[in-house]
Amino acid sequence: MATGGLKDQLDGLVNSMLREGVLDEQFTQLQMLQDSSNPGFVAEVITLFCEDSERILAELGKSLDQAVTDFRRVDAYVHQLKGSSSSVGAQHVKLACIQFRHFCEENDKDGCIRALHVVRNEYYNLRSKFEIMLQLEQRIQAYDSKQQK
Amino acid sequence: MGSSISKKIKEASSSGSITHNVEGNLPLLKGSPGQDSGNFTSKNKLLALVVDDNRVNRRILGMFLSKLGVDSQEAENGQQAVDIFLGGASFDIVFMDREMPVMDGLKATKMLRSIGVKTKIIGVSANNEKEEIAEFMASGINEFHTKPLDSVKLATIIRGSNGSSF
Repeated sequence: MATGGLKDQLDGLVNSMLREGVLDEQFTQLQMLQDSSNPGFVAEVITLFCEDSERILAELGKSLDQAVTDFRRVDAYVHQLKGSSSSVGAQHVKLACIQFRHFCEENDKDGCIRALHVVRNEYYNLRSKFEIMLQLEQRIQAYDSKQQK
Repeated sequence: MGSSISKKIKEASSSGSITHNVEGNLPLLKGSPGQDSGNFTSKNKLLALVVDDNRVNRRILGMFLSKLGVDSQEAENGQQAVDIFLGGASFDIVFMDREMPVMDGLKATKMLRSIGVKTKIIGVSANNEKEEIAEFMASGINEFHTKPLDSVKLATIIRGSNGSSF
């Protein structure tokens, strides 16, 4: 498929994620930072975000499995995830984290467990779309490299 | 931790290795990271210190700054930022996150001001509660901005530090 078609697919995917609110304007800002001198910037940031998010989700699961919940520790993790999701434009994940923090402030374990479930769902939905995005980015870059040769 | 910092302050003060920036808007012209602190280069690039415990945030802010022609170094928490200054490094501007483990942005800013660092410090946080902003300002930051920082906000901040246009 010519690179134009791939770019249309990528744009279509990003636009649909923006329309759904899965992503916000901040992601568009990240895309604008990518250029020929930093062709893999978006992929790099997405990869870092996903690695950190999965680590944090695992820690949250462990923390909430404990008999006695350390809500400060849980809140610290959620704060981290909220921060990085905000920075990459992962709006639904960010909003889910904001709700999660309310339950932490109220020391509501059941609420936290429900909130973790929501955050996980939002994250995995986002991740599946990011995976498609990265595949398209890779194909576009491979095609562009071939054209330059 | 407190005694090791006191020792470092005494050592740094006696060796004269803490560099001071003029307070407020006048930037020092700094070389790229990796060069000796205090060296001037023909590039006339600003040098920023990005202090944030989140590596995604550091990477993104670093890239935004790079696009604005600003070099940057990173610190993962306030303690690292203080240690970097105590090691003799100097910067034109510091971006200081509020909530960090080990040492948060408020403590780090107070510490930096207490050891004579006059570099412009931009406090950043996702929280914009008035009381928290006031507390952060009282610690010694020059400005507060809500995260995430975008290209427009950053260009305004850097313009205010440099006087040049982007």
